[in-house]
Amino acid sequence: QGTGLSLRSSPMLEERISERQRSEGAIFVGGDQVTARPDMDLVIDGQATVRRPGLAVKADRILYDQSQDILNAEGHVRLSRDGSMFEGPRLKLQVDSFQGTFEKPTFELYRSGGYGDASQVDFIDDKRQIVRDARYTTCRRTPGPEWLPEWFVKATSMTLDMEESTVQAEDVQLRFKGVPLMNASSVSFAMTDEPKSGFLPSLIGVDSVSGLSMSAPYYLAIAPNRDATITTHLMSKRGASVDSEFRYLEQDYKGQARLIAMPNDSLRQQSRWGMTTQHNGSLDTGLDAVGRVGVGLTLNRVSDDNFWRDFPRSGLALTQRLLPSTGVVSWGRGNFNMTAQVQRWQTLQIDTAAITPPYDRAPQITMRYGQWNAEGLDWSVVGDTTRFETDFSRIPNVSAATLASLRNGERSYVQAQVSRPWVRPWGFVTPKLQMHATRYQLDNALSTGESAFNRALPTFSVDSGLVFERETNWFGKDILQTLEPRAFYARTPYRDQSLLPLYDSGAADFNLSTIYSENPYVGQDRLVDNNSLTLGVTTRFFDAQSGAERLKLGMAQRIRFDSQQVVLPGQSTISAGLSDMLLGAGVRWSDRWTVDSTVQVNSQTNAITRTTLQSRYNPTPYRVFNVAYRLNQGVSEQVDMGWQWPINDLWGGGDRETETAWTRTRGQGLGPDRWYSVGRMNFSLTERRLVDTIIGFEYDAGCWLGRVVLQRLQSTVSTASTQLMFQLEFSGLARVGASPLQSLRNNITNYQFLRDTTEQPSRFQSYE
Amino acid sequence: CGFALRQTQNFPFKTLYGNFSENSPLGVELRRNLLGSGQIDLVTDPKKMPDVDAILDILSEVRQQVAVGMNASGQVREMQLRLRVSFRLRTPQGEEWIEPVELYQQRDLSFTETAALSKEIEMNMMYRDMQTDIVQQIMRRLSIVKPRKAAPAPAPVKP
Amino acid sequence: EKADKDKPMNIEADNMRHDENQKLTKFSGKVVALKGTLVMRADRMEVQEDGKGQQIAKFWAAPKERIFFRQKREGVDEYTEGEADIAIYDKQADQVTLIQRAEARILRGTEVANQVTGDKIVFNNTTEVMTVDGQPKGQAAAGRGERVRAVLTPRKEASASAPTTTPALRSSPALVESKKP
Repeated sequence: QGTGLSLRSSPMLEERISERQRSEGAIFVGGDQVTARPDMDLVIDGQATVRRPGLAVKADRILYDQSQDILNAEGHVRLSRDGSMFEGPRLKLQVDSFQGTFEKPTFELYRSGGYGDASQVDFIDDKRQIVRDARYTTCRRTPGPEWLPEWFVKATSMTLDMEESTVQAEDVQLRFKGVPLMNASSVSFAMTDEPKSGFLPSLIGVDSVSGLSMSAPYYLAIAPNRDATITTHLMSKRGASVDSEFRYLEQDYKGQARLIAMPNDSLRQQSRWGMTTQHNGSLDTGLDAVGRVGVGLTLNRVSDDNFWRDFPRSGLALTQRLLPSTGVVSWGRGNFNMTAQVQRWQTLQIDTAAITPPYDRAPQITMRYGQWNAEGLDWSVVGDTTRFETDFSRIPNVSAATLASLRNGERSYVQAQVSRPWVRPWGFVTPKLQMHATRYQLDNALSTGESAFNRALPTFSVDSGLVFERETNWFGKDILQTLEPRAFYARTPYRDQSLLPLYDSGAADFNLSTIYSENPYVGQDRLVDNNSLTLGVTTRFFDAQSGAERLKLGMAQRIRFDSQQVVLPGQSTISAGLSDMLLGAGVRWSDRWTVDSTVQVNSQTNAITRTTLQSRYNPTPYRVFNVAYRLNQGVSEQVDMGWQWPINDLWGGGDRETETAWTRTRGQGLGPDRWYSVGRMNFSLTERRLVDTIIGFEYDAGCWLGRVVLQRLQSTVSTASTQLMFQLEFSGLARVGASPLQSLRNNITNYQFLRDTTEQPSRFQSYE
Repeated sequence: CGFALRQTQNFPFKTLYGNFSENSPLGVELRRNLLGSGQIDLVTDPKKMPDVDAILDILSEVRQQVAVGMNASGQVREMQLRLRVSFRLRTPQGEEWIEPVELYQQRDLSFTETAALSKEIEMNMMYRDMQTDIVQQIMRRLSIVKPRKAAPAPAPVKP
Repeated sequence: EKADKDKPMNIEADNMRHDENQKLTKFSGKVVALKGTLVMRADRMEVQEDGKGQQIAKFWAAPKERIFFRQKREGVDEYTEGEADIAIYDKQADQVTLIQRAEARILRGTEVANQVTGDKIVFNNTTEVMTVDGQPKGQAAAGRGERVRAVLTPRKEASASAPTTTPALRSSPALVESKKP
């Protein structure tokens, strides 16, 4: 009769209790003796229990007036609900509306793992309770009579809101090891890790530049898709600064904006500010011929040249002394797409280390139309016109030659290419023909009187390679080994380009990614006269079961049949013959060990021009050690180390069982009462300086974390700023994860915060 | 020494639903390789999803740029580019043939502020190269996967 | 309901023996006792009369079965049903007692509203009170333990209107002695 509802059993437990269950669910009663007047009232004596979906009450004696739905319980009363549990001598509760009072209860909040006691709890409704004269902590009780929680919060009233899972406490005192740390008239904190407005762990420090400093971040959850973090920094030697970050995620656009403002900084007697914003999204133009247009805006600006030194580690821009601001509009339809962008740089100069600023591109318009696999041909045409301009006058003690080398002007080029790839599983051959036509128009003429140049150059290249495979066995692992020889020939006629300006051309790092390309220089300003064959071979070892790449070895070398005359300014012609030899290796034998390295050997002088060698040992969570050596001949030679390691390993090592048990829940450290050492050291061999150092010790006491961090950042060859910081983090009291070591997370791969966001406990974990 | 030209890669599924965005660079290259193998019938119409042999989910693609080496005057000298792509292969009935796995690639790049424009072009080249590496690894893992039941596993080709 | 107190009790059984000087009547074999809306079914029944004409009826169930008890509740269209190993009906106190593996159900139409299990259940019709005792500590059988278990389902219509529908109590008129069959 009619479409019956087809039910199927589900193995899942019902996490959420529906409203219907709550109001019409049956009431289960148990006890030694029950005296009842059906549908009227009920008296249960001796181990009385009343249970309803989402609520369980146990007591010595319970009177339940079913008509008024009022429950009175006396003697060892224990009220247990999905998020919390109360225990005490007496409870009076109107069950439906959940109004009532609980006298002298002790309570536990499962979501935050915190518990405590109070003089009285007033239940307002089933989501909110007010706990009077509460004491609250998340420190687990250890056996022994004289146990005292290492920290606890005292408050005249704490309003628990289970729906928002927040706690609003009135005139609060936080006591840590008996010392009152903080008194506040009203504080709100989150019970769970969901982003809720509230204070984040504050930070106290002392450093050579700002003196005694304290920063108190406040997190503001404006909406599920918008939030803000406002941190006030108080610095004894300099004054107060505010660092506010606003993030938004809307339907068509998202982004973040960050502003550091310091009205008057007594260090430099001026007001300082620094900002960075990213915004990208799409805009509906309404014209159906156009449709949606992509918009991207990035702004990085600071108030003065010394900003990066006086606000170290502010993390505004990736390259702290070169701040890009870019606005880009992009549009595409089918195989055609175009972008128009304006990019300007702010270069922060210091006398001892001047930077020649790169050219601004104001504007750059690029159009691309191409098809892939059209009757076997891949072809594309790229058109681009750009206005390059910059200003060398702000370079400190700039030389006349540098000033004269300024070439503001416009450049337009068209690059058409067509290739016919034959791809088979065992190999590929891809002949390609390219045509570059470029036109330069300089603002002021060169000494030779010319101010406009044209250049048209064809390029022919053939890329070919084979793939051999065999199954073998290394160290007991079934391995699939491949052998991939590759040959790349490129031919470009010679055109003298020494007079052309150098806008976006530069020597690319010589590695396995860039060696098989038509032009050793990237960019459009120098098209090298090529008659060269690049030969190389790569062998890879794959795990036969999972297909994971365990080992990769590569070697390549370029043979020039003619000498290369088109070179970058200041370089001499490169003679014909063998070019530099390139060796590359990547090992990921097990998940614990990885080694990566590339070596570039100059075949004429057999000197090593570029080497990167890095290795990571990451046996378990919270144990990682990275070391990297990077040499760039004549420019920089750096050693970079990063580690996170429990110090208990030094004396006897922690007990592995509790560790493995503890790491079953992600992001909770390795167990209570453990010290961790954390650090990152970047040593520049060319300048014999320890450039960037962070050394920190973290103590995980289970319910609180202590952190001591020493940071030292070199700001010039001779000066550096050192900073010592302390932080106490009470788990269950503040949103976790925010830590001054945010920069560590970027610099040490696989570094993990000791308290990371965790999933919510299910209501069945503490089911009664 | 046992090497032989690689034969056609055969896959334990015929029709595959590509659960990844079409116009992201990774999506374009993955599509090109899947179709290029000539063995897979790539389906992108969500309505046909329930009756394909397998579904390839690209769960996440994260690009990261980190300045790992600076000189004493605060100029960045070494940068590291990282690309993390995690993917999963499952049947419409939800049985996972490849559990979610993260493929990680990193490249080092020397840097000077003056050459910012050319280094930007080089970065894009590096990302494309890392992406090609990851797509090749995904293709290899797809061809190696042995479904627990259902589609009969093709006999591996002996050299 | 209250009116049952004054109704005659008629009993059917396979056979009956009456012992005048002990004033003891014994029924056995598929005993059915009806008294107004009160229904009792048991395997064996004994009615004991004391000097002043008071009657105490005892019921025993067949092995591995339980006696069945059913009575309409006062003023509402609901029935109380019960089962137990032994039942005692005290006419004077208008009280039914179920002993050992006792279970009582209150039915609203065909739907089971409340359900109680325990070791001893006492229905007192005059005060409309039902008391349920679990097994005293010592004798609790190992298994489920004889604590009292009850399941109550709230009334469908909103509880707010509950107070008005509770039956008004009223005292019963003079005692009426029931005639023997």
